[in-house]
Amino acid sequence: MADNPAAATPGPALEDELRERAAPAPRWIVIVWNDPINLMSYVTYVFQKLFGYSHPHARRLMLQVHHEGRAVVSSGTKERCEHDVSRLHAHGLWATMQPE
Amino acid sequence: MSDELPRRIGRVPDGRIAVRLVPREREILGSLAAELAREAAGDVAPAAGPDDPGLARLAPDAVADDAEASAAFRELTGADLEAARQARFAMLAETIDAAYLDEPHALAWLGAINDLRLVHGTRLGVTDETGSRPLDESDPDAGRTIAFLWLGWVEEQLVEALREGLSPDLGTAD
Repeated sequence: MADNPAAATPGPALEDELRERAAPAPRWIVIVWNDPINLMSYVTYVFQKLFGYSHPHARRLMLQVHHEGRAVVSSGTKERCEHDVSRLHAHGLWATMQPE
Repeated sequence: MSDELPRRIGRVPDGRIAVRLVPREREILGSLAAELAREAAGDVAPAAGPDDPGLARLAPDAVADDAEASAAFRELTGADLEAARQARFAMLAETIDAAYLDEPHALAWLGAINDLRLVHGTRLGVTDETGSRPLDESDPDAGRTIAFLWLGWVEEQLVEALREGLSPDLGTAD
C-alpha cells in the first residue's frame, strides 16, 4: 500500500472536527411542574396517553410532581423534547424543557 | 366532591360515553366554553382584563429560564395549539346536548373542560385547599368558585370513563 502524502500531515482542524462528530448530541429533559388546578387523575391519564406509560408508572410520576413540585417525564434530543412539551401544553400541563 | 354525588358520566358497554347532565348544566357548560373560545381566539377582550393570567396559563414558558427561547417556541407552536383548542370547543358545542359521546368528542370535552378549569382557576387564584374549604357565600367569587368546582366534578368523571378506554397494550414503556 502506497503512502498517501496528504495523510502524513493531517491538520489539527480535521481531528477536532472528527471528535466533534463523534460526540453525542446534548440530551434534553422535559419537566412537569406542580400546579393547584390540574386534577391528579387527569395528569395521570395524560402521562398514560401521551407517553404510553402504565397506570402505576404514570401515577408515580404524577405523585412525584404533586409532592416534590416537579418530575422529569421524558428525555431525548432537543426536537423530541420540543414535541413532548408542545403536546403537554396542548393538554394544559405546565411543562418546560432544559438541557440535561 | 365526586364521592358525595352519584356518577352522571360513564362508559357504557358499547364503548360510548354516556352523559347525564341536566339541560341547565349543559347550558352553563356551553356558554362558559363559548365565552372562552372567543377570548382565546382574540375575538373579544378577556373578561379578566388585558394582562389576564388565566389565558396566559394556556401557553406557559416552554424553556426553563430562557424567555427568548420560550417566545420563539410560542411563535412556532402557538397557532397549532390555538387551532386544536378551537376544534375542541367546536366539537363540544356540537355535542352539548348529546346523551352519548364517542371517543373523539369525549376527548374534546375533556380538553375544553380542562382549559376552562385552568383559566377560571388561575383567575380565581385557586389553591390545593379550594375544594376542601367551606364556601363563603358573601365572597363575590362564590358563584365562579362553585362553577370551577362543578367543572372539576364533571372532569373527574370524564377522566374515569376515558381511562377505561385506554389500550391494554399501554404499560410496555414502564
